[in-house]
Amino acid sequence: MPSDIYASLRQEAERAWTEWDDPSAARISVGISAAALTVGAGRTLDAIRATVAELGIEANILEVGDIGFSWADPVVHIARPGMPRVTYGNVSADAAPQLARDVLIDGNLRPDLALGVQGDAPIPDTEIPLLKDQSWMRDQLRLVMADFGHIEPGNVLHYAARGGLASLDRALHGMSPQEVIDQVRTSGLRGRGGALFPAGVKWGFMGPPSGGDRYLAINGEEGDPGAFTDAAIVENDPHRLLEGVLIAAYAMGCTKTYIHIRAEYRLPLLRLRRALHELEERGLVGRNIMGTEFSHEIEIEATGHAYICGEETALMESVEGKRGAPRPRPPFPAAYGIFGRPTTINNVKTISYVPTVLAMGGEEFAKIGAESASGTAMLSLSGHINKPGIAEIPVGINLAGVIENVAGGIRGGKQAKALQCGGPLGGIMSADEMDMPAEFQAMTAKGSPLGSGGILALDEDTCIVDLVKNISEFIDAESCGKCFPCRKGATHISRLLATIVEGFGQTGDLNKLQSIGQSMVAGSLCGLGQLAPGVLNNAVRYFESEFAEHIDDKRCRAGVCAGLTADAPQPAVEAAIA
Amino acid sequence: MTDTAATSGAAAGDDTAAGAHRAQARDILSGYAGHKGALLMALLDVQYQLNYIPETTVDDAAEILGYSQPEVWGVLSFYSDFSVGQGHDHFIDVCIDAPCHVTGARAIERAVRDAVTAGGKTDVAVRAISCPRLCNQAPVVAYDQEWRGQLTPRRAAELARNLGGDTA
Repeated sequence: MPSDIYASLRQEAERAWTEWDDPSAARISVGISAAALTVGAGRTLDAIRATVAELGIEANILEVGDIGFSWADPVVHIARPGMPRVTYGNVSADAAPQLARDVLIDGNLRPDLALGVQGDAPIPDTEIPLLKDQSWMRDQLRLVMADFGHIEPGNVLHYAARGGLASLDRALHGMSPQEVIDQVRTSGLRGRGGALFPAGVKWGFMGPPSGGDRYLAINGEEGDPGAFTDAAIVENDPHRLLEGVLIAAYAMGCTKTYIHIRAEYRLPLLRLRRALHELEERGLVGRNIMGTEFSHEIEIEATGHAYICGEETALMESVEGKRGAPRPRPPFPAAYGIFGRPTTINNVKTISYVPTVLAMGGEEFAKIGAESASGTAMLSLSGHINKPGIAEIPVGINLAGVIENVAGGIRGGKQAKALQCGGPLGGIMSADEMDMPAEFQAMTAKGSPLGSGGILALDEDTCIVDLVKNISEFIDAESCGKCFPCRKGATHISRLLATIVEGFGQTGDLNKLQSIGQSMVAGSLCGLGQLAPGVLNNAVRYFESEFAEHIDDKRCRAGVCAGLTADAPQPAVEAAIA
Repeated sequence: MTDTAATSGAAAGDDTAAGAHRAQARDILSGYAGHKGALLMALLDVQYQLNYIPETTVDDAAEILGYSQPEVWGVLSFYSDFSVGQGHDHFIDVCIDAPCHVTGARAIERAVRDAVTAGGKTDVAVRAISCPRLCNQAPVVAYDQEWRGQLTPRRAAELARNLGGDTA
């Protein structure tokens, strides 16, 4: 039974939603995100506003979040009165006025730009397929991303109109904190930051409240190049994160939450601040939430750019305003965390599943995905693929299928060579291994852990040694310097790789690289040093011959390393021969 | 430095640009006074409003927020957001991390540096920087924090030549 407070909020929300999504009106929405803005989505929105005003078209216009089709940005959704929305891709500011005119005035649905019809009902007499039947959407299951690109991010009424906050209402009015923890435990939800620790078990470490402050910290640092889903949640559906925070805080009896997110992420921060402000104004954050005894405060910590702050103890230092150097453990955060108080740290993605877990029930949620990790995996797709973007798949579907369909295959008709997954501290696998489940443990066994969901696809023209060198330079730059095996080891590995790609490699260098890696693993306090050799070791595992060519034959088959000879003769060589 | 801080700058009514920046920075810092653990957030606020950290901010932050100068330097030197001391009016940032690297960042960085050198622009600094999480639009370049995606070396060079003017 929904509480009266929730019921009246829901009513107000549905009115607000109908005001925008009025079936009898024309509706235009433009997907705005930091990524979409880089290819002109802001100008597209301006152009649409101007066109609608100029032509005197009666239409509701809305800035929505990113539906995840980065390859088709700027994305625009248009509905004629009484008809479902059609999603259009690559709508530049130049193309937008004509598109609006064609669709809304002439009734030409422009199949050339259409990506698909939203919802389940096709539009009669058009060739435009349903969006959900498109090859890149068929395999997706969008739990966290359900409202991406559909609602105005940060608008609490839009969030509530689509069913948001119902789980919070149920938790606060119908469940004890222990019951919430039990549901999360039953759901099998695991930490999506990459460590995959069962969330319900972690919450249980806090024990019953013993008086005094205890904190929840949300890790939105997501420093891995090639991983961008945490920022996407904050940017496209910030209330989902905040609802998850409130439920988790209620379950653990936390008095305050710190949301850790980089100051440089301006649009996600802006929308998150708006979302929090709207909840505070309605008394959904603060004292006696929804008329219950539960009070909770949320603080958004805009922090600095430092990869190491994704490590949980470094994150706590950063929240305290200090250098983000990791702390030794024990004591563990659940005993001694932020400002010395008991603290639980969860990833943005993990917490964003919580409203869905309660809405479905733990048992139902556990049925989705794989046995080792229930639910879905949010993917950040980048590299040499046709459809870079954000996607969400049930854990365990075929990985080769994900690359072929969801990611649109390798671009330019080339062959896939390797997948670099899980960021710089993850690993790499040969494309020959791709016929396997996209599942955390199985991919870890192949040497390319899925981690926080970043998949960087590489085509046949990629030089693996050059890529490993790039990644080792990243690790070198981001080592915080506290443990010398990591600080010195990272430098030596990247320097040694630099000499190899410049043509000065020596026999025995590979052993040297791997031995430095072992020292980093053994002598580092945190995951950065301990996981640093993952990409290097697995690159050697799958592509040892390529390293040997660089070191012994001074040859780079991809022709990427400038100091070496390529398989195809380089212009300079040809000139010398002639 | 403490002596200088006490006798010059905003407090003494310095009307130079540096003095105005110092006064602005002190105002920002004062907004965080008394707030637990605010050093990093306060310094970031200064960085993102002024586009740099005035050297005087080290003393000012220590004084206003109650830290030692080494603690302030410790934070400033740790996070890559900060640039201490005013060097340039504008920044062109080229992401060089793996997803941009494999999609052509090296050629883009070269093109941008060449364009800036050829244009004789001394007030623009080109920085090779770490991932801004726009890998789905790689390769990316920013002019004064405005990021552009799916760039080619030619378009990146145009961006540098046009001082961030639109090239799409």
